[in-house]
Amino acid sequence: MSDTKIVPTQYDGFTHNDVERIKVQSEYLRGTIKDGLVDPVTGSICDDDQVLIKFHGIYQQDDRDLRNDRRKSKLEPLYSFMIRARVPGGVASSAQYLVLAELAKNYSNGSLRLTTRQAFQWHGVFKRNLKQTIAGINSTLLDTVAACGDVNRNVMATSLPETSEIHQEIYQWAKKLSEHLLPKSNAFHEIWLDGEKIETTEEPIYGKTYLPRKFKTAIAIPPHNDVDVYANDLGFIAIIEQHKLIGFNVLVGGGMGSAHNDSQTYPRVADLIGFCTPDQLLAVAESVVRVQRDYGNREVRKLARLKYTIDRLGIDVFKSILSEYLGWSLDKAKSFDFTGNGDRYGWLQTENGKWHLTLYIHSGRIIDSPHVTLFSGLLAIAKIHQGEFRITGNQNLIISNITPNTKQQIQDLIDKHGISCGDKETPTRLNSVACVAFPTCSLAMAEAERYLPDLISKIEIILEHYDLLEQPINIRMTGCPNGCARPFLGEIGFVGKAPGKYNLYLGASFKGDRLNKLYKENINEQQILDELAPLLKDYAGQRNKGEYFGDFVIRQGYIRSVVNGLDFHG
Amino acid sequence: MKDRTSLQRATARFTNIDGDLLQKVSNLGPSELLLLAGYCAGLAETSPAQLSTVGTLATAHEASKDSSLKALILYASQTGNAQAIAENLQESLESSGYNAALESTLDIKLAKLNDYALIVVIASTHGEGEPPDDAIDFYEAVLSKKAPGLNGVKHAVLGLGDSSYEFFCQTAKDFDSALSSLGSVPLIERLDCDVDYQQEAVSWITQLVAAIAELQPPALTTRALAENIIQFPYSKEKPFSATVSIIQKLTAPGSIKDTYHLEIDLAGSGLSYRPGDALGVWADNDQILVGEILSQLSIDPQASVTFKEEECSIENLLRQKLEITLLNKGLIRELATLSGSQKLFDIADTGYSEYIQNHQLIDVLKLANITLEAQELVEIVKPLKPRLYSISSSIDENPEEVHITLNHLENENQDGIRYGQASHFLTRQLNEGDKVNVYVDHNKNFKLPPADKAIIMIGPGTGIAPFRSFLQQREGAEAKGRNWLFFGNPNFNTDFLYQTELQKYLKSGLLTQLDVAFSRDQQKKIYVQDRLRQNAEQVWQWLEQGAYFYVCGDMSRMAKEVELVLLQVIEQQGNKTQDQAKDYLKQMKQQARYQRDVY
Repeated sequence: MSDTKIVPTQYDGFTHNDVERIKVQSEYLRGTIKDGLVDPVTGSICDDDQVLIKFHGIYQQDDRDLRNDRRKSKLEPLYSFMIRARVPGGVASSAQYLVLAELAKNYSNGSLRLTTRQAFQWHGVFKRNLKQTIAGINSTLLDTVAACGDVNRNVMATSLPETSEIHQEIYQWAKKLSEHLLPKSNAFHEIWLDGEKIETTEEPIYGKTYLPRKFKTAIAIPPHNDVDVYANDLGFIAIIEQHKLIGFNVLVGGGMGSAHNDSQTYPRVADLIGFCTPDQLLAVAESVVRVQRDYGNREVRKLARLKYTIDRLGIDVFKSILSEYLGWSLDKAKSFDFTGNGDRYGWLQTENGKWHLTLYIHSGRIIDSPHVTLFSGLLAIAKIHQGEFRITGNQNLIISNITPNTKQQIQDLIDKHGISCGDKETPTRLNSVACVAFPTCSLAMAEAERYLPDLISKIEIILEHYDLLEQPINIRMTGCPNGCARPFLGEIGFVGKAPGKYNLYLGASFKGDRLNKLYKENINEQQILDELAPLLKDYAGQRNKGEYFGDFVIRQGYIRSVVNGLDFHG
Repeated sequence: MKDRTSLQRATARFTNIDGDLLQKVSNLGPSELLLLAGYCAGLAETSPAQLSTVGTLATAHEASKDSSLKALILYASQTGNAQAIAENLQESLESSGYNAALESTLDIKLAKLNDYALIVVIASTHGEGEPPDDAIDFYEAVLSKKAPGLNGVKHAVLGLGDSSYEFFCQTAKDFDSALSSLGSVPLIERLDCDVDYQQEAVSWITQLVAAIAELQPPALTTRALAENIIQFPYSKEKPFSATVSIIQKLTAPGSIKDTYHLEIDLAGSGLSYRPGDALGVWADNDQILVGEILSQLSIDPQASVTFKEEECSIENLLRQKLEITLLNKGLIRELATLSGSQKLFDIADTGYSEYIQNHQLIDVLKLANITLEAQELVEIVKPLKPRLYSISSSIDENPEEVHITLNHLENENQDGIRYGQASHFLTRQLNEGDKVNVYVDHNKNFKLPPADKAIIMIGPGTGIAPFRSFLQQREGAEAKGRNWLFFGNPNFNTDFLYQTELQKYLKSGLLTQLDVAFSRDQQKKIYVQDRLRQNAEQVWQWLEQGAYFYVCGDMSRMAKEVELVLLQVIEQQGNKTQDQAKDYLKQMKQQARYQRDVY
């Protein structure tokens, strides 16, 4: 630790970025949202409120495919809203799922989207239907509070550990963490549920300006790293000894987001800083949040995530400030082992006799198509299923806690609706993840969800040629470098630069604890295939037994290994 | 001679009309003068560009009017055509030495009718046989028991209408019979003019003046009529071939409406217009439809026919000169008689109004199932009429340009889709850069008030067109008056016509308020009249502060409902009885504070 004491940041209207001003002036996330919702002349809400509604779990978007035509027709862009529900651990009961799906049918574009952070998303909800949709979500006892915004977001947890008992215990911790770190403002109830206005709410953890940037938390249960715990600001690795939870290893400073051609920004895997017992969990989480609240960068938003705070302070200084906030220090981290970050598809029985069926949901999109009536099929299943649905960190869905006597009925519905349990796709397709991108995401520079399936089909031809179809390769694609589908943890990562053009990244680990690195910049589909073909040919011939593609390209010297975030651009 | 002096004064600006010429003219007798007037009018017609500067010479005879004949010219006008004819008649009478009072049916007091020896009524008919807005009260009064006896009075009626409507010139017919039943005697036979009225109207006026002259010779006649007080180089009969520069769809994909914004280049035409005016469009008929008609009747497309003393092929005639989309009862009867089709008789007798909603000539021909000679077809089908569209631009803000806003009309029946004549041509067959024949149709009864007056505009659907023109005009002129617009359409996402422009006007403050009603965005349908009702208190405040109230768009439902709500607002907010509310609205009409352009 250096001699000069590092002091916490105070709000400063002159140097802080504009989002900080909006938060300070918002009267605890109220702004003018209520008035904006009833303005009949536009389908949008004003700029400041667009920042604030994120804290309510809502993003304003517009259909970018239609922008130009509508401008010529003297119409404003086709604005709609994306709503994200907070679903700790990705667990929703069958009854909740029924309501959420009905809301999708009535108010959104007829589909539900499972996210890479175990949440449900509704796309294309028009302003006039926003309130009903939010109220509907709330009626299921789920909500959208803090699903987005500069606060702790949905808390993830491994969705299918070896025993149901452990799942239940960890799920409860995820829920408690999520609730403990929720903003306490009454704005949400006032705006969406016609709650009575209660003046001057305090925000005991966050204060008026909340966090400098979004904050993500996950709990992984080894050997499964399906939550990509290293990509989170705050990660916990459950330590289980003799089937008993004894505590958590603590990780800090992971994150995917970066900007093209800006070496100040980079993805980063989290640092392992110690161990805590279950009863210390909430205190550790709250203290990490408070340190980030006080030491995070509020001048430059793109450098505001915890990972930059840590690299600016140095991990040792960060740890000592954390100990100061906690009043004690973390123990030494325990050993653990991850095997992968994918999902295990198909049927699985746990110790309580219940069955779990993991479905492959392409890009997390629950929608009816001519051949696969996924949306209708899941609705039908929800009507007979007594257990729950679990969203995985890979945007797949698990029908969980199926009683033995409904198992066959559910299998029949799966067959009837043509739903995949991962038995029809190649391991590479099953390990692929794409973000939403066009047409609704305002950040997208290139296609992702709508394009990745086609690209994988073309890559599969190469894999087949080199007899690699049975080898899982983790492919991630995003339309921009903000990292929603965690592209920098893909053995092969694609990040959009422009329509039809991608940066190609190689060399992440299969289990999600090492970043990839830029291999080729700004290339089109043909160039992508031309670049991958010789690498895959070499991999087919030269790989060691059990060696993953991400490890192979490093051993062969195609790309250098990224040890920490600061190496990413090096 | 006193007349000479004033005539000289009036003609002083025309250097070619010197004292010599005037001397000669003043020596001529009445019939010689009439002949000369006709000759001069004919000459003027051939050099139209100069005509626009011809003023009225009516002032020449101020001093010598024979006041012994008390004549009243009463007009009931919707778009200003009846008013123009009435003014023309007054001028003709004055120049023939008669004194005639000119009144709108809006202003005339019923009891005053007795003061006149001659009552001339020029009345247009609106929609399905209804009187124009300005005439509703008078119309009801003259048909009521309160109407005075008119024994010893003479009258003459000229009707304006459209023979493709079932109740052709109904208002004129009703006035004619009402005056007769009150004891008046017709001086000359009533004339029911079709859309192509100008020549007929002029000869009727000549006939009327002659009849008056027989009744009571004038003191002096020096001048006959001119056809129009103001003339433009391009007119309905002589349209300008303009380039369509932009054809832009306004409604988005998925809409149940198919609305377009057209920008038309008027450069070089000398055409001008004011907010509230309409653009007349002469559109060609659809080639495919023409082919269908000819093959249905087994007529050779190249068969030669005579139309208005000119010869051409039947195909060309159907394409450009004949009305083949709008039906009329006479035509259906004629084809029923020719074919003996009971179905057609039934349609003409009972199901007519419903039938014409989505059927056209081709459907009637299919039912008749007969063959005709090409010339026979020409005789039974009416001449093509131009279509009128409310102008949606201000010429001050868009020099040498005119914009219109229209729906592409299509109606399906069991045999196929029937398209709107001009809307199909403009939006499906024309390309940007193509030419279309247009003229300006002035509407004296739909005009902006003085710049400081507040206006309330009710313009759902394409009814927004004139209000876009109003707003452009007021923005350009930096008019101080407040502007409140009510707009409606089925869906917010796809049908908010001119949304981004209106948002801009709202932001700049030009639009004081904008209320929208999107009927299909919620379970219960909401229309502009509902928004009007919801804003009752404020609407009343505006009216009391002198606001002008405008309605444009659908007549049969929207405009009627808006008027009902408006009366309710006046009644409830103003604490008035129903009759008082009606009087209030009538006063607004008289002050030109309630203006409608409905169709």
